Amino acid sequence: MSNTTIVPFGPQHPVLPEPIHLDLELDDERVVQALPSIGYVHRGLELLAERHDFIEMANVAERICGICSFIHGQGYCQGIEQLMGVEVPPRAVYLRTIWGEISRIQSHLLWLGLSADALGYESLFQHSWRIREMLVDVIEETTGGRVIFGVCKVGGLRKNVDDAVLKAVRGRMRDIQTAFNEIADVFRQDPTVKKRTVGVGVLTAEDAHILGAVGPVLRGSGVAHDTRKLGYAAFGELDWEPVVEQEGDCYARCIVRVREIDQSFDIIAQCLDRMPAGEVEVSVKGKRPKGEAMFRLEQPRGEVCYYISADGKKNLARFRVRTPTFANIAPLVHMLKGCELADVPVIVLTIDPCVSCTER
Amino acid sequence: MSLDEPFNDLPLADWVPTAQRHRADGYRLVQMTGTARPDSFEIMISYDKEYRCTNYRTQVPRDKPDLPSLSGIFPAAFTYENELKDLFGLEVPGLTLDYGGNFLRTKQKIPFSGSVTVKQEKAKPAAARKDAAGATASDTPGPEG
Repeated sequence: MSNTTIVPFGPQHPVLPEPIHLDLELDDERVVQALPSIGYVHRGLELLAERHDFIEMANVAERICGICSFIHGQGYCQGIEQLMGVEVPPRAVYLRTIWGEISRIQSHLLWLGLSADALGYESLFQHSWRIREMLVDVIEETTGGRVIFGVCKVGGLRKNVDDAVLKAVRGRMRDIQTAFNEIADVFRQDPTVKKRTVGVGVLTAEDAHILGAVGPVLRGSGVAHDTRKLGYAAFGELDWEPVVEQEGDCYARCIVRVREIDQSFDIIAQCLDRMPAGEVEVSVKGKRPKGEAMFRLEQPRGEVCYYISADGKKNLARFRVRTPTFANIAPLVHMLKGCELADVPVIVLTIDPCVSCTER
Repeated sequence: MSLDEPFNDLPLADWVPTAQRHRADGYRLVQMTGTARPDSFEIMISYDKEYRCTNYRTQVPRDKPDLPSLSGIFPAAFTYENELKDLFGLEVPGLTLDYGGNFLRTKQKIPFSGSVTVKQEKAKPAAARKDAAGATASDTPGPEG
């Protein structure tokens, strides 16, 4: 007779900001198998692209996710621009890069806060989100939005940012980085964090590769793969290398995110140093996308793929988004096998699950 | 970013051998997706090695919608194949982890292939009167009208 028990985890759970369900098959306290299922917030946004004007769809693309909203808008616009053969002005490219990196920092800070909360480290959670709030204020000052930036459009940007504002942003980012460095050492060295994460949920480099892991999950397992190396936006002109940790456990994935925050501050500083002058948009009036292609970008959670097929009409023939969380489901199932029930929330959190992205 | 990475047409019979070859060559499965065409389901797949994507497309006939599973070759394929099953009603023989059409736990009946229409329930008489009143009010020109 089997002694296994099925324990449902989610869709509502204190560590899950969004609904995903896992059926955990347990032998005593040990997970034998985990079966994930999604679909609780499926919105059918891909189908909307076949029914709406491709210009309007930039607004919908940005609403795929509330955390990586800007990068979704950027990816969609870049895809359409390439199909139309439109080259956006260099200043728009650099501003897009800055906002993309600000999105990465605020997403990682949000994750650090949530993970600290899951570890029972309430004050660290509050400090992480306090610093994130400083960054969200910068987003508001430069774009007007706090969650949905609303500045990216096909052909460039809806608004320019004055050099005086950018100068102020440089100072603000320096302050935020100083504040972040104070808590970064806690994530790096605190025994509470290490106790719950070191050696937990190990994913080897080989497994990460074959299971299709992306983002910090992949790089935390020692694989130096970062889609920004394709050179989209301004990344081809900047000096940076993918952040890699070797251990493949929850701690390694945490440290990758901590180090990536530092790296993003540096990338933003490089962009501010090299900021080109000029306009931030070109007219796309009368142009329509034609052809098909797949576009890849690096979101905070990893590689995102956009497949766009257009036949010269005002609406797209097909729009498909493969989000990083969707790619990290298979590695998650692998990581959960053999772990203790008490470690499940921490392991689930370390893939930084974004369910609304995944559901689309 | 889009590079020069076109989608190559692939006969359905070569679907599995191509995956086996890419696995042996050290490729990573990037994504699988589908599009409902009038006579077939167009299934696309991308493999990546050193930042270069190799893309393929194959056609699965609507009258026999069987797509051989790649989950025995690339374990990560099970999520994509279950999603394709839910979205388009494909059969995926050989699937290592088959949710039986329940991977996406949506209220809307699946598969989603073809034209999706949401059934509109008849409004209750009181609500219908309210709607009519609202429509009349919005027809009235405003300050700028």
